[in-house]
Amino acid sequence: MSIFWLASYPKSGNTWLRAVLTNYLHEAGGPASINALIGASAASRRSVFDECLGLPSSDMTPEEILRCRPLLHEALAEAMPPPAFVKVHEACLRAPGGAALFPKAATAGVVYLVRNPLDVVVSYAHHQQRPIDRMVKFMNDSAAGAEKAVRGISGWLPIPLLTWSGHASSWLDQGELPVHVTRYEDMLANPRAAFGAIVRFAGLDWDAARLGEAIGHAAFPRLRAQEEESGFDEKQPTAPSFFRAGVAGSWRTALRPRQVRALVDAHGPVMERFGYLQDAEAFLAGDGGAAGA
Amino acid sequence: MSRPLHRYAAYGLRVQSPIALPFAPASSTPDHEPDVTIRVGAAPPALPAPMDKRGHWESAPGAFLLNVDGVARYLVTAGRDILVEPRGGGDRDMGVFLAGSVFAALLQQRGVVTFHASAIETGSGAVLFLGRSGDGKSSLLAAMVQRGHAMLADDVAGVVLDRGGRPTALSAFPCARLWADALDELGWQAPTRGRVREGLEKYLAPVERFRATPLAVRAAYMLTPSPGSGIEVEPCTRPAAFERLSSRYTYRKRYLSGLGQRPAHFRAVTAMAKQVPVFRVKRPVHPVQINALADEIERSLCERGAETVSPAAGAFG
Repeated sequence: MSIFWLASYPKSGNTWLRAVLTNYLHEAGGPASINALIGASAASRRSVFDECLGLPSSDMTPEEILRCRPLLHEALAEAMPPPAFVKVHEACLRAPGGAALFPKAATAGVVYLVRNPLDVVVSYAHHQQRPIDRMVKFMNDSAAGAEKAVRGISGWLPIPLLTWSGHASSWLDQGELPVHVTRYEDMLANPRAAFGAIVRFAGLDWDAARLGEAIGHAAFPRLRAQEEESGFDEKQPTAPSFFRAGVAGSWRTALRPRQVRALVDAHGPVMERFGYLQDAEAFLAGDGGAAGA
Repeated sequence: MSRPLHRYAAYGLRVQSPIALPFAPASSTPDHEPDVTIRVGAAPPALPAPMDKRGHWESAPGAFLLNVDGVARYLVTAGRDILVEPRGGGDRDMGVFLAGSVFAALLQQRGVVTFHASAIETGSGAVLFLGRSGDGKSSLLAAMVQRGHAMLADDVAGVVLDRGGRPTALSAFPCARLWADALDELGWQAPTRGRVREGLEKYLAPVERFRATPLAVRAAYMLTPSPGSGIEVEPCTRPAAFERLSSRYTYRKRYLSGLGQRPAHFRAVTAMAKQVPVFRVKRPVHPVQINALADEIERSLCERGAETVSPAAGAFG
């Protein structure tokens, strides 16, 4: 089989999408557990890499690991029964050696989620428990990566992200893999249309009533209630909660103008492509801008 | 240019190698023929009749081939011979993969079960700390060594059934591999042998307090990073223990089929699940709290009547 990659920059609605898909495919009545979501990041787990390739990732450099990942993705595609969804935060790169990190042969399609970077930075700072300025810098750094601890080890492989807009361009402009793009803001504004289009793109049997139910089960307050009750495996250990606000536009009160300016300067063209630029510029030209740094 | 030969003892085997392995050589050099001979030479790019072939390796009964891009190609035959073709790696690089994945294949060829675990000696027998990469096996091992226990293995624990069918842990080699943050947290004072590999903040930490002979397995603890901040130790049912031991915690499980070693693996894992109490240890993902974890494990060992400090007290690791 081949894989539908659920690709996004972190904090862009990937887990929400997985919750909807899980509930859509869930056979038993009632909501599915948030700790058993389909599309887990199998491709980024050390244990999967080690067992699948027979190599010890913990004794390998990030470059050596990345070089082996195309082969890992092919092996995963072969092993996974349909429908095979795998969440990835990695940028769509070429591995050292030149092979595509996400090989065409292993790929059925890509669902790419994009979210206003001004909201991403607020959410990411909360998730990482880091100052917003530091996360702005991170999103503007082409060498940025998640799980990049050098003095220790986690259960995850290093995840190269590029900059926020570099990430988006890497997936959207690669020209090899079929991509379906969805904006987080559209998932919020019209979930039936947004998730319905994804269900169709992934070739799942269409059932409108079922989709409505799945969206209900995966509604933000329900996900948050489940997290409060039983915890969430994928939460950053230091963050107070994974499901934080689930809204669009909180950047207007959370960001300082110079932080908005730094992101706009770095990502203007891609922000414009997704309709995020106008609001940011109006903010900078209006009260926000006048308030100075 | 011929290379000097080094002699080692590992997993109860006498090993002769022209490539330095990442741990101390055997203290005495007996005249016995080695059990395992490592040579440097041209290795074939593929096995003639592989039964299984995935990722970077191929296996067939009695034969195993591993290719590590930029480092070396390794051919392991009949549980006795390892042929290494250098392909860009230095001795340290080649030695690290030899002592890990390559040795695991060799042990499997000999019918030894390879668990992803570290192991220590306690008053009542060997105790295994099972975990996947990043779960904290090596750090916990080091903390237990600091508390006076002797080390048996780090990362890969070899288990065989003795004549009476009892699971017995083999003594691996006297070196732990610790990341810089664990060295800091533990206040590890003993000198290291340097980085495991250039570019990795992971160090070879020789352990003097080491048990060099096999020991019956008395307990196993499965390390599971979990959401939440507490450390909990709870007994695991036999079916659950069997399932976890045979899949998640078997090191390089996928090598087994092609090598024809699944029956031996099944027998040993069944014996483990039947005879050895297995516990699940939930620990917070972050911060790891190695010493608090070691406290809980010692408490659990005490409750079970195992002495906390092994009788064979050597120099501090």
